[in-house]
Amino acid sequence: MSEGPNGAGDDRTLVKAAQAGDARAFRALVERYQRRVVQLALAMTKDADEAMDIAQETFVRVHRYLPSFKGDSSFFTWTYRIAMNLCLDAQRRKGRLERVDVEQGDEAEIEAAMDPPSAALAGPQRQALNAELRDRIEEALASLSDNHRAILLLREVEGLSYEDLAKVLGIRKGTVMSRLFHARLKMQNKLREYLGEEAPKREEPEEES
Amino acid sequence: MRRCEEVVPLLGPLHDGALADDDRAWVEDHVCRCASCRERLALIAASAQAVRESVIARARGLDLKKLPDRVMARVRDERAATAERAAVWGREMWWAHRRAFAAAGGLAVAACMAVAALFLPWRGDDGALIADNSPQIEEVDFGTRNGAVLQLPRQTTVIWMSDDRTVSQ
Repeated sequence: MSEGPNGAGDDRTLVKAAQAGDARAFRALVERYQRRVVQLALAMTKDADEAMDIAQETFVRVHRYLPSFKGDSSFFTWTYRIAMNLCLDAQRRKGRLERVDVEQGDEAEIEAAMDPPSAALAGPQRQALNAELRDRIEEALASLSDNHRAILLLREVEGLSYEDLAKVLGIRKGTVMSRLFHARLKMQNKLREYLGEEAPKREEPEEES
Repeated sequence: MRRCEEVVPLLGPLHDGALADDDRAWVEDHVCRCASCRERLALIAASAQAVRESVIARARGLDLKKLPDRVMARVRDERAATAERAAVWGREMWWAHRRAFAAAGGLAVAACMAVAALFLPWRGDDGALIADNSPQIEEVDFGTRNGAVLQLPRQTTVIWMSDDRTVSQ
């Protein structure tokens, strides 16, 4: 995924200008990333007003800490990290942050990964995402733990690389791979439930050795 | 050919382009030969696309026009608050420690004067160095009164007049 309309190079120019006190440059950065930050916050919190507040607070903090931004990571990765921390803090305040061992899935979940894929999701009828399926996806997303939802959104929607996921979430790359694997499994299993599909019987691949 | 159990955890990284070349080669080889894993890979792609479309569609309806203004207003408020805090801190520091500041200032001035008095040579009107910087007192007869004149360097003169009107003969 691109890093905004004009890329990371232009980001650096704007960031330097904003660091030097150029308010117009900072505003340009806000306008460039506001939709993606709001989108992320909305998917995390499911509340439009709260998402707008989180986005606003994200950019205020970005401005506050901009002098200390050294450019070790890209500007948008740094911004997402602030936004994600605010989302998780908001969930924590509401007592909704689930403390689960997200790096370990149960055996049933792993078994389910070996099930044949859902026809409703992978079949040709899914080409256009209809409203009902969209609702089901939102419900499935909402049912995930915050950690699983966070990594799924940052990867599937924002397209962050595994390295950037590790930076934004403050975890190791190996943990990224493991957490993303389980998040995807849970998402697929939830969708199966919502779509009313029976867990299919185990089926061996055609050429498995 | 490897078993599906080995391949399934790597299908996500394969989809995300995050596999090392060596791993990618054998995983891709397995996927080419295994219909189930091809479907699993397709499911990962379809699920990702469905999530992306769903999230983007939900946020599309939000009006973000006012957000930059709200952010910039908050930033301005924060700057003003920071400046005000600095000013208040300065004032409070001054009032809390003004005696200490005054004492330190006085000491500094006194020290400068002492250094000047010790090391700067006095000069007369003609620019010549005055050899003896010590004050000189001289009794003076002012006719109707007696007096004394204290001559200090740099043309500073202090004159005392006695109250006694009797002129000594």
